Amino acid sequence: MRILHGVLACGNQSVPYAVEREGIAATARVGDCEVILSVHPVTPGILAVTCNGQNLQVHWATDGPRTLLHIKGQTYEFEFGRAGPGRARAQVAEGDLRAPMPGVVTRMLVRPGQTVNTGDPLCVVEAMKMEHLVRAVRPGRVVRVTEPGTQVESGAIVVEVEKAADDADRR
Amino acid sequence: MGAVDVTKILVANRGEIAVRIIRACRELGIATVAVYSEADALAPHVLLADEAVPLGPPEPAQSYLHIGRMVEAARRTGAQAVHPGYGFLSENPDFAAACGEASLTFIGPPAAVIRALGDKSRARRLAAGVGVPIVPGADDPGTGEGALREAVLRLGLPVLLKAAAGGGGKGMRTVRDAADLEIQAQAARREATAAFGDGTLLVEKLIERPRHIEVQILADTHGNVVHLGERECSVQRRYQKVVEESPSPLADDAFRAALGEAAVRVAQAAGYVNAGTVEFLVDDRRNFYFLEVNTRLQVEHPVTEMVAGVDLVQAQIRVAAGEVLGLRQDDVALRGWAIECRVYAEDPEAGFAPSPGRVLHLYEPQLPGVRVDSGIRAGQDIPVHYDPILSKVIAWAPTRSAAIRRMSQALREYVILGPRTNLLHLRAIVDHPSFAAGDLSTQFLPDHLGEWRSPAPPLEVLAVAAVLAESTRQAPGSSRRRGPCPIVASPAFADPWDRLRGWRP
Repeated sequence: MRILHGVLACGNQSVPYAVEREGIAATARVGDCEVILSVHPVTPGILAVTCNGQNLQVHWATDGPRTLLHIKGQTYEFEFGRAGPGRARAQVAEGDLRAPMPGVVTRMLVRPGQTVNTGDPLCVVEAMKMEHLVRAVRPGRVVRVTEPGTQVESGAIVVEVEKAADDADRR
Repeated sequence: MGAVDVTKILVANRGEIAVRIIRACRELGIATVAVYSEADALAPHVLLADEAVPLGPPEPAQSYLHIGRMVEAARRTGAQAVHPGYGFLSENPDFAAACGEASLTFIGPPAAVIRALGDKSRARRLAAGVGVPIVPGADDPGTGEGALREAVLRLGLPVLLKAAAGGGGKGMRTVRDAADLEIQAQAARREATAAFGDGTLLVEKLIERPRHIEVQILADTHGNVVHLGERECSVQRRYQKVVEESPSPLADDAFRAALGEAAVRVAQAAGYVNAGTVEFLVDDRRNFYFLEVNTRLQVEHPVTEMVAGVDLVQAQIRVAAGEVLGLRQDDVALRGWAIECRVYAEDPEAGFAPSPGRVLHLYEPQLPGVRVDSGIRAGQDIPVHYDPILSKVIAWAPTRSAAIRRMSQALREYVILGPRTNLLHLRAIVDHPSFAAGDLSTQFLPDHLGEWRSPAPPLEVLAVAAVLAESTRQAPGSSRRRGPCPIVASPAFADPWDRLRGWRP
């Protein structure tokens, strides 16, 4: 038997946990609380979980780093990490514009080389018949843009904006 | 079947409505042809139909909106009739006309009726002409901003700007301050032009906190018109209906009769044939005003089916085949209460932004009196190119309160893992005391759930998540693909944790 430690990320919240397992039983410590669980797989994606004596039907699925759980009528999404130093995340230059949702870049309103100010409309991303206008979050010079018609994932960089060197002077 | 012998129907749509139509055809013993874009190759409607014809690239203009390819698909497969569903080509008179020219029966009203009622200004004049009240407004105030301003000042603020060719909230803007008029009108025109290829606006006096109540009508080619009672669709977000029900909690027998009679008058004046919906706004003194006619099957048609006991898709097919309506107004009796919730691939935590992606796991509610009209399956990639509606949950019960309870339970049991959905938000709506009280208006969501957030996970959920994570995760540093996780099962018994691991994609 061993105790496994990790960190659970849900939205902006990050919670450390410890799990100790024996057969189908497990003790999980989350924050200050301890919960005793047993888990019985029922069919693919569905588990019968007993949690401190209470029966729960749990639906779950994983998708890359995402783990999705449905318990008591609500769906939750988590990402997991090992305890210890925070995971290295790809660093992105501050000010780059990311797609707000998966979709298609339908219109690009700026060209490379163009300078933009905070709040300037940069491009339009469309998904499921809804348009979303992406605006500049700070002033700078446009370095690279995405070709209109390109399909993008949520969080993909659609416009790269270089921080203007004389940014401070212009204020 | 009637004047036209229909043995094969092409379903010119996708998603849940295509599935719904295919099922109705199957019950009638009619063969079906599905059509699909490259984004829908293995979608449920394609798998369910007897035949399927590819239309082209995912972009609607190259696939589901392409009249030529649609007609060609019907001709090539030998279908005698085309059912357009809702959206896409369903209210396009050119499509109805193209079907006629290709000797295909269009399951809907004649092209001329679609054209006349599709022009909102014309439809308003038509309704007013037969004594049905309309919202005070100005039709076609002209394209100049000056003419528009004059019309607005004549009506008095606040007003609603609408696309004359519109629907679904596109090109609609509320103006409360004269200073905003120009900028709102420009935005409305731009949206209307992009969505409908026509920037013509009309102005209506804004009715504050109206209820949206509509009447289902059914008309045959022999001059018979009946109405099947009303649906209330007041719970809307950005002019998109979210929850609908029949009957309306506002309507008593007298109100229903008056509304139904007005709807039938409009239908008769328009020479209407097939199923259609006459929409009204109702103010706080229960005055109703004609809004528009939807010349197609509505998304929310199941609530009428549940209370009226009529299969509207089958009725549409029979009418299109030339049969006489087997139903007189006196035969129509509404029984019990039905509520529909629209399930969208939208993230309520991110301002209801669309959330396409793969359906990883799907579990539909199985309760007495609950119907799920769905267009998705597990493993399917929900494309970004189309409307975010995934399915509809319909709950029927003898009383409204029982129907609400059933709906709440059905939403609780419905599991869609993958795309984010509005399921929990829907439950917050039907569980709200104001919903239970039947106190509805098109402002219901901003009034009651504007600040709604999904609850944070309770402790037990975090605990279950942690345990599942440890059962499925890899040893630190190991590649994801390199075999099972380091938790070793006792050889004495089959450790369920091992089986858990086997499910990883």
